[in-house]
Amino acid sequence: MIKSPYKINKNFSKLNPFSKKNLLNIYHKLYFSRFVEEVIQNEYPNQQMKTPTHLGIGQEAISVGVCLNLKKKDAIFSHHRSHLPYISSDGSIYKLFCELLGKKNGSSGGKGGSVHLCSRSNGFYGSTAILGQAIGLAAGAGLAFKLKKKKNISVAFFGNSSLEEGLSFETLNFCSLKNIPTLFVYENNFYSTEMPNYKGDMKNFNPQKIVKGLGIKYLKVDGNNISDVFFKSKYAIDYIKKNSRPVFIEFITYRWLEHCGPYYDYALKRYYRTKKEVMYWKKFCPVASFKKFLIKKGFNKDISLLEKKINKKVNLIYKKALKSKKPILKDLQTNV
Amino acid sequence: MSKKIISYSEMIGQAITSNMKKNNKIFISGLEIDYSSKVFGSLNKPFEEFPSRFVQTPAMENGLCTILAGSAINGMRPIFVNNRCDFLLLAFDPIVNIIDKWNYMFDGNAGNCPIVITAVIGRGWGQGATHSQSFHNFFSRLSGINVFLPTFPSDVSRVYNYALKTKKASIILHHRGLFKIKEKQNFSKKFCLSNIIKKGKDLAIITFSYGSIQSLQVSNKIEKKFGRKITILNLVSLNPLDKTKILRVAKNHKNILLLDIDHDEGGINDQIFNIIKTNFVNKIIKKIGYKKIPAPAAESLEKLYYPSNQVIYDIACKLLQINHKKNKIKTDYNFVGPY
Repeated sequence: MIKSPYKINKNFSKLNPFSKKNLLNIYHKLYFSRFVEEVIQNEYPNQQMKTPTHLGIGQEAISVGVCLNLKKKDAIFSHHRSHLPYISSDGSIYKLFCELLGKKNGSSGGKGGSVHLCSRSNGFYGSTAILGQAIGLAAGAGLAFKLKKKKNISVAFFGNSSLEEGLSFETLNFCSLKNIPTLFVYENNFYSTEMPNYKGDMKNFNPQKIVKGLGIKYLKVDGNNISDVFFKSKYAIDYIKKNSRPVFIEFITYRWLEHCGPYYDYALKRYYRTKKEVMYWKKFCPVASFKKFLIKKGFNKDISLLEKKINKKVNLIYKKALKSKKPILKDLQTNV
Repeated sequence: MSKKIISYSEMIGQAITSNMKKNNKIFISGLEIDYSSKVFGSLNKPFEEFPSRFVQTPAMENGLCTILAGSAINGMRPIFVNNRCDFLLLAFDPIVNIIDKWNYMFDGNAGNCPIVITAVIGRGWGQGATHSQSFHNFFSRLSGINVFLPTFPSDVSRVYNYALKTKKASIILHHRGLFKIKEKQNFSKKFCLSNIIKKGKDLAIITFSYGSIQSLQVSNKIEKKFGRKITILNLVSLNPLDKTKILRVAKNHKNILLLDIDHDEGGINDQIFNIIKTNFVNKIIKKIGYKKIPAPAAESLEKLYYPSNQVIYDIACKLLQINHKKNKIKTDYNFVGPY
């Protein structure tokens, strides 16, 4: 069983200087991400969302913490577990639900599905379903910023499998050689679909050595602690802007649900990880641990108000999306 | 209009340079792009004028094509140059799964991906199975990418001017045998998917790229020898395919010859055959292409693999019902090595 190298409920003391409003804003983003994914999780078995969906429950702190440090004109690309970076970059939830439900008002007009989301006006350039592509595309967006002499950066969100692709190493090498302003966000949840990276042959796979070997700055961060994610990614982004060099952050996290779908692996009797392991990692919940910190600060009432508000709002949006129109024949051959 | 004579290779350079002058988002990337040969001389001029807009890279076709696609999505206009079409196989994932579909799979909401990919079809001598292929037949199956195979400097000029302005991505394939083709520079600038390069009434040849050069040589000989006139339709674009022009040519000719520079089976020849037969059942159509085997390296086998002018001549004469047996036509491919 894989255990976290970090302590449960690490303290959030670095966030103490933050105003109540700012802290509640962070919690808003965390809880909002979680609740939206939970709505999808709960509704998915109703067979109305007919698109293979990779839920990111348990990994919220990474996209929330990184995106809090980004500007609207920065460029984000994501791999197939795309909902969280999309939500964190303020992509419309109505458009997300519509896309999952195959509606014309979806972020991709219903033509993309869960793995092909976009929200260009929010800097979310797109997500792709082929492993490694987000890494290459983000580097390309970074190259474009460099050639255009813009100060913006690009960000790639990706997981274990994506990093294993040859494309990733070609890209990292290129970014190092060409000084590309890209932040590589490696969400290490210990599994490439069902293949663990901490035992067997894969335990010798060492991204740190490879990344450092290519001359790229590498950081390892507790991806379940919003404070660590926020400050380390802020540091990384400042570093990229100051030095015009790429940075690679390995965030340690854990995916609670199955690779693709709304269920727990143990409930489906999949054997690659145990219920005990999932229960252990649930104690590192990025939303609950931060909530605990805020409750200690006496924000009880604000939190329950905020949660109620989000629950109501998201449920209403989902209902609205259900009623939204489907794309029809005249949409089939547009935007080829 | 200038009446200067310009070569195919120079025209590539001139077309890229003039577009680079107008659009500062255009840049060139690929392996070996700043080597002394500059891709058969075609990049001499752009490199002279804009050396800083050349992004030389390690060998990384898959990564590079994905990166360049990302730059195109973010507002740039990359030209991805490849010395051999064969190496584009390493970039098939971004070509097929990103560039071709980017617009459609986000329903136009994620911007365009206006990359221009160029590659040389490497037939010289002895290039063998993996340095001489052309994937125009595969690329033409895609929906979101233009596929151009310019034959003459005039085609080159029009294709580059179009490809570097359109929102769609384009693949431009240059046959190695064309780089020294020369033409007076007084041609029309209007872009067209295909053009009739020779007008006749007795036979129509529908072809492209190096096939158009061979067809010209063959039809000139037939005209001189027998006074029979042949129409040649030069397809500059295979995707989209100029169906209107193909059908117009087919309508006016009883005999039609299709000439591909790839395997005959399962490619553009079959597609054009179907288009014509669906509309005109009684047309007599012959197809010429490579045998369905990899390209061999040995000279004696190469001669059997690539349809020579003699092969085209014989079949054309047969279609024209000319007794052709005693006539020989010079073989065409005057390549000088080493590679």
